[in-house]
Order: sequence, then structure tokens, then C-alpha cells
Amino acid sequence: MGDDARPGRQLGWLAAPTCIVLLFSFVFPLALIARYSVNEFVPGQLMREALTPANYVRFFTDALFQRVFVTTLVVSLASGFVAVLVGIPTAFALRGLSARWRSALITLLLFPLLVVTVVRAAGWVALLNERGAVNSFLLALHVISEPIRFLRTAPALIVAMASSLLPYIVISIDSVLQAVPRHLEEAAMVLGAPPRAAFRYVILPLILPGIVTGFVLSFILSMDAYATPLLIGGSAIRMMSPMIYVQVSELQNWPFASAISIVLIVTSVTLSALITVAAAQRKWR
Amino acid sequence: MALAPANPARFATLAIAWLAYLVMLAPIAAIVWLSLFNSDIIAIPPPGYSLRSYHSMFVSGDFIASFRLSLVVAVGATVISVVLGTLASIGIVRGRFPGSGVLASIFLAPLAVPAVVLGLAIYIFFFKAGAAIGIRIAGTIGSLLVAHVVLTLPWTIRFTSAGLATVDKNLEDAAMTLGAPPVRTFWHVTLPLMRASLVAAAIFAFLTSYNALEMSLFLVGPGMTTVPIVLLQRVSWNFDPPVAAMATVQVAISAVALILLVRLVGAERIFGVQRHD
Amino acid sequence: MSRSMIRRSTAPLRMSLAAVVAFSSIAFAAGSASAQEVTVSMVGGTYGDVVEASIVKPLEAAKLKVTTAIEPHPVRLTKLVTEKGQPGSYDVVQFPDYFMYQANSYGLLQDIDTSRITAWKSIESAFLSPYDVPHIFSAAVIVYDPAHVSPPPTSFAVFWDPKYKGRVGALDFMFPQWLWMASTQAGNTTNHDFDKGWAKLKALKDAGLQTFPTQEALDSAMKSGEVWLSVNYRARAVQLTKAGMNVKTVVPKEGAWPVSFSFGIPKNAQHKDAAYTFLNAVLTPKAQLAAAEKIYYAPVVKGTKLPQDLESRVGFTPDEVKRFINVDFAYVAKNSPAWQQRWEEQIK
Repeated sequence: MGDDARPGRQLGWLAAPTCIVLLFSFVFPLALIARYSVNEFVPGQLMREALTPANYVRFFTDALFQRVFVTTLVVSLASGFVAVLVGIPTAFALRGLSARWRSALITLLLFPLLVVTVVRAAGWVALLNERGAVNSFLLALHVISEPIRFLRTAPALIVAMASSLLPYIVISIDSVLQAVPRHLEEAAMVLGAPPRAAFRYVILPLILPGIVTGFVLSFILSMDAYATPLLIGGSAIRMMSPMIYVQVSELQNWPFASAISIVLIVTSVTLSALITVAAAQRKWR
Repeated sequence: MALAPANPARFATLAIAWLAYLVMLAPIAAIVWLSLFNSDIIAIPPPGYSLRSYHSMFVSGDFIASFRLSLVVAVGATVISVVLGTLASIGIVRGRFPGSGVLASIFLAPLAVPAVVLGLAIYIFFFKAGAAIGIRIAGTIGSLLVAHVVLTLPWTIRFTSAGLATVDKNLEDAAMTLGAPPVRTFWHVTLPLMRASLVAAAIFAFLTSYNALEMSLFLVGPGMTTVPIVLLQRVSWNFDPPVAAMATVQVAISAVALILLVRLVGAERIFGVQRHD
Repeated sequence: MSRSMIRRSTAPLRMSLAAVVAFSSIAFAAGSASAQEVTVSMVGGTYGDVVEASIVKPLEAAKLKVTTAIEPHPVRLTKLVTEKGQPGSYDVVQFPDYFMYQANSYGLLQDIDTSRITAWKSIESAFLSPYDVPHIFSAAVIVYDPAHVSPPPTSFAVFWDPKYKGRVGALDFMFPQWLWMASTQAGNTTNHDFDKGWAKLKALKDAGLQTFPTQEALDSAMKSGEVWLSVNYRARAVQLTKAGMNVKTVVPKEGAWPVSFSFGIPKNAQHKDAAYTFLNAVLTPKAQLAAAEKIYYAPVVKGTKLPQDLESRVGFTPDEVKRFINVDFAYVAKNSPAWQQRWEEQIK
């Protein structure tokens, strides 16, 4: 078609309304937060206008906050990793089912998202408490003689977070998997490839974009997590989002809270971009 | 044609899938379990089980009101978000202009901001802007709605742009060659082909908005409250079997609604992508 | 052709924007000021239920329109801080004592005109302050299982008794209280110098102190018999008793750390008269009794008639009240972050 280029440019304008909404309800508020992050905190007086890097310096030099930063990164990456590791087989399991079972199971997949995060976390606490369901069960069966301390450990937090990320990952991979014809790996095997190789060299590259997207999404969601780390990680595993809330609401230290927020956002975005780009590069190998 | 279950790879896959579902649904099962305690406090192991929590569950006025507001905001935010998201998707997927890739990333940016920060930032900005202009913005339903739209936009844009990308442009070109104007082509050819992604976008937008806690905390006005906030307050003040019963009822109602919706639309259509076998 | 395409395509968007504006204007219209209304912000849960039933309902029957905002304390405080200097959204705010102190220190509250509070003279003096009207109180007392702890404790020293090694439980969020209690065992009789207690706390930790992140976790441990001694609000202990557990409480000779919930008027409140009506409703016998009966907190109004069994369990004798520590909130607020960090690292 002759005017192929013009519609392209014109169509771009359709994104304008969304841009405007985001400008006033997202960009400006965040700019405000960025502005606050260089203000000075005066206990009792709250905030004084300034242009000081003190808040950022404090975050990166104080041992406590360094630990919080690293913990947040490690837990988020681990949660995403576990979710992907479990999500891929789950998506494959769904693939081999009849349409009716598949739809039922995908609906079931959405159930955890119906439960408000706070309630979900409270449920985990009831399960993993020293006196909770899991320990009581194991004690009753005499598998253990003393309750295992699950709560306030990294593995428990990672499992709880991964479990809330699974719906997103499974749907992500499943939607990509759907575009892969079922006969593809059979064709590869007919041509002599062993099943594992068929998977690795034929299927995996095709679903890799879905996996990467799912992982990046899980990572970002974990970085932002608030209720789950608070209730399950407790004070042993401290992550940035609960820390921000404490700084704002209990200590009224808005500048510092703003600085932590900016660090969190920039880190999430940067790492996500790096992972996505790195994954895209590998495709060409 | 599924591989035979006896195949060890298939078995391992199924086992992991079972485990995944178990772990995902475990917290819900725990809440239901707690709600059946025959006790006024949550002390494990319980002295027995009964339905007394459901009888004594105090369905306070604010719980019912919260249901109403949560639904209104979720539906409103979903509709606006899907419309805006679809428009934005067309813009970045079909529109060819410099920086469209960057714009696509910016659209997904709200996901990278913790809800606590976003809710607080929007609240402070809306309040200060409102104070500067002279009208109250923060604390109105409108501000809550806008905030939820921002929260759900990344989801709707993700799903609709993925769906749009799978629509064969040749079909659209064919329609237009046959004389259909672009808007009509979009409405009658593109949208139906995108239907699965639109429904998925709507479902995720709805769930995200319904679930939003930290975002809503700062933006609800006096007299307004949402389901997550009510549940948070109940759990914080005193987490006992009646609160667990309340949470169970809320999940049950939502689950029924979800199942009905899926049945209505046809589940295969929701997350399915057109197959080109 | 392209222009009409854009215009038509944005029609749904314009409709949506119109809907948003309509929503907002409805919200504005609904909020227009009138003389007989008051907006109260408070915490939810069963406390909110009690306030609704015993304070809000009678007021509404008397034709006062009460709008309640249910939110966590930190959120309420943040909103007050944001609205400083502008017409406020709230006429009455509810806070626990330590938050109310913070709100006042930020200049967010106005002093109470005590001549307008009819029951002012009847309020327990320990809870009088210039910037709020108290509602209910309790105190962090020793909670023990009489089946295993005998004789009944009379001092915080019981926690360090080798007889009860490993049977003591502490709630994490009560770290200031625990530090103070430990300091009393190191000779501290003031409401400062809590840091004297760290050595004692460490010794307690080494002797097997168990810490719990939530009330429910501690409740379970006490119920299962793992923990025999702890510190908790008397109100909570009464709740456990009502649920069938056998626990008793005692205010030891060193005293107890009180907690109270009160209501204040923000400086920028828009309906001051209605606010005072509300505050007076907080101190009526009905309101005071309801809290005691439903959530087991003691009334601040002296001489409130409580049912016999409730009196002995929920209430505090004048002698016990005299032993309450006079909490210096400024001191606690200033040191809490450092204390919390140290509690995390050494005691948890």
C-alpha cells in the first residue's frame, strides 16, 4: 500500500491518551518523590528543602541498609528462578491435557490471585508456624521430634513468593507454548533427535521469550513485594518495600524513604532491561 | 497426542505440576481451615472444628460497603485500562515512530514501582495539585480510579500488545483492500482476532485492582473503604477464626464470579492464542 | 481519512474521561460541608466495631452525621502530615498514645478546651493530656500459666528465675517494654536509662527466651504449654481466658507499661463543634462499658460500673495504676530505631 508510512506515524498518536494519563498520575508523582529524595530530614520538623545526596549516601554506606538491598535482590532473583523452574513443567503438564481440563486448571491457577495478599500471607503463617499445620502434621507422624523453624527464613519466604508468582509465569509460558505446534518435537525425534535434545534445541528456543518475560516479571513483582516479606520474612529477612513503609509511616522520614524508593525502582528497571537484552542476545547463538 | 503417563519425563512433569498447584492453593486451604476452628482464638492445634465462626462472623456495614467500592473501582479501572491499553498497544505495535520501543518500556514502568511508593506518591501529588488549583482531588473516587488505572495499565498493555502482535496484518490489509475503512477493519477484523488477549487483559486488570491494598490505603477518602483494607484491619487488630471466615467468604464469592465469567466467555478462548497448526 | 479515524477511535476514551469527571464531581458534591457532621478517622477491626456501636450509632440517632475513615495509624499520621496547613479531611483522629504524641510533636493537633468536655474531671489522671481525650486503656502485665508458675510472680525478676528457663516468651514489637523491664532488674527506677537493661536481656536470651512476631504465635505457644510466662496486655490475657485458656495476670512491684487509645482534634479540623460532641460521646458510661465488655480494655472514666467478673479481670486497681511507668514518648521515639536494630541482632 502506498501510504504505508503515514498511517504508522498517525497510529502512534493513539498512544497519546495513555501518555497523558501516565504523565499526570505516574511521572509527576514519581518526580515529586525524586525531588523529596534529595531533601533533608529534620526529626520533628519533617522535611527541609535541600539538594543533598545524604539520603542516598546513607542507604549505601549503612551496613543495615546494604544488607536490606542485597537481601531484596537475592530473594527476588531466587523467587523468580524457583517460579520459572516449577512453572515450566507445570505449563508443559497443562499442554498435554484436553481442552476442558486445561480451562479448569487455568481457572484454578487464578484462584490464589483472588485472595488478598495480606490474607494469603496470614495463611502461610498458619501453615509454617512452629505450631502450625505443617509442623503439627510432621510431629504427629513422628517424622520430626521438634518443630522446624520455617518462618523468618529465606527458603520459606522464597517458596511463599514463588507460589504467588506461579500463576503469572505459568500463563506466560503457556501462552507462548500454545503457538508451538504439538508435532514439532515428534518431528524432531522422528528425524533422529533424542527427547532431551528435541526439547533443548527445538522447543526451548521457541518458548524462551515467554520464559524470560515471565522471569523478569516475577523479579520485578518480588522486588516490590510488601505484605509477604513483612509477615513471613518478619524482621529476620528485611526487604526494601516494607522498609520504605516503616520510614514513611513510623519515622516520618520522607526524604530517606524517597531515596530508597528511587534506588529500588532504578535497580528493578536496570536489571530487567539487562536480563531481557542478555536473553535476546543468546537467541542468536 | 499426549505422551504415555508411564514416560518418566511426563511423570516428573505431572508431579511437579501437582506440587505447584498444592503450594499455590495451600494458603487458601489454610485460611479455610482456620475459619473452621471451634475456638475464639487461633491456637494450633484447635480444640475441634465447627461452623460457629460463620454464624458469629460479624458482617459489619463496612465490609459490605467495601465490597461495593472494590467492585465499582475494579470494573471502572478495568474498562478504562483496557481501552487505554488497547489504544496504546496499537500505537506502539503498529505505529512506526522513533522511540516507540522506549515508550513501550515506559508504559510497563508502573510495575517496577512498589505499590506503597506509588500510592503515597500519587496521594501527595494529587493533594498538593488539588490544593494549588483549589479543588479536592485526593480522597475522591476519581483519584482512586485513576490510581488503579495506572496500576493496571502495564497488564492491559502487555496482553493487548502481545495479542495484537499475533494478528496477521495481511488479514487487515485484505479487509482494507476490499474497501473497509481502517476503523471498521479494526472493529470487525482486528478486535475479534485479539479477543483472547482482551479478555486476559480484563481479567488481570480486574484482579490487580481488586487486590490492590497499599495503593488504595492513601487514596480512599473518609467513608470509603475497599475489601483489602477491611481485611487488613481485621487481621491486624485481632486475627481470629471469624476473620478467617470473612476472608473465606470473600474468596468464595470471588471464585464463583470468576468461574461464571470463564464459563461465559469460554475458557479456551481466554488464554489461547490462535494456533497455526 | 486519517483524521476521522483518530477522532472516532478516541470516542470511547472521551466517554471514559467524561465518566471519570462525573465520578469525581459526584464525590465533590457529596462532600459539601454542613454544620451537623463530623469525620472521624480510626483503626478498624473489633475496635472500630465497638466505636461504631457505642459511640457512632447514638450520635447518629441524635442527628449528627458521622463519617468514619478506617485506616492504619501510620497512614492516618501521614495524611495529617500531608494536609498540614490546608483545610483538613478529619475532624477527629484516633491514635494510640505513642502516635498521638508524635502527631502533637509535629504540630498537627489543637489543644483540647477542657471546659467543653463534661466528664473531664472524672478521667483517670494518669491518662490526661492537653491534646487528646482518652477512650480506653490497658497495660503490659506479666501473663502466666498458674499450672506451671507457682507461687504467683510479684516482680519481673521471675523471667530470670532458672526454674522457668526456656519457658519465657516475648513479643517482638514489645522490645521497648522488655528493655525497660530488664533495666528495672539492673536497678533502674526512672523512665529513662533503658539501655542499662541490655546485659540482662542478653542473659535472658542465652537462657532460652523465645520471641514471637505476632500475638497468634505467642497464643499458640502458651496454649500448647511451650511458654509459661510472657508480657502482654491485660486485655489480651482476658481474651485468652474467655477462649478457654487458663492464664492469670499480675502487675509486679516495678510497675507496668500502660497503653491507651485516645481521640484528638487536628488543627485544621473543619467541624470543631461537632468534634467536641463526638469527644463527649466517647466518655459516656455506655461507650466506656462497651469497650470493656467487647474488647476487654479498661475505661478511663473513674467509677465506671463494670459487671463484677469483668471488673476484676479487665480493670486495674488504683494502686496498680499508681505503679504505671510514666512513659516519656520523646525518649522512646528517639531511641526506638537503635533499640530495634539491637533487638534484631542480639535478642531475636
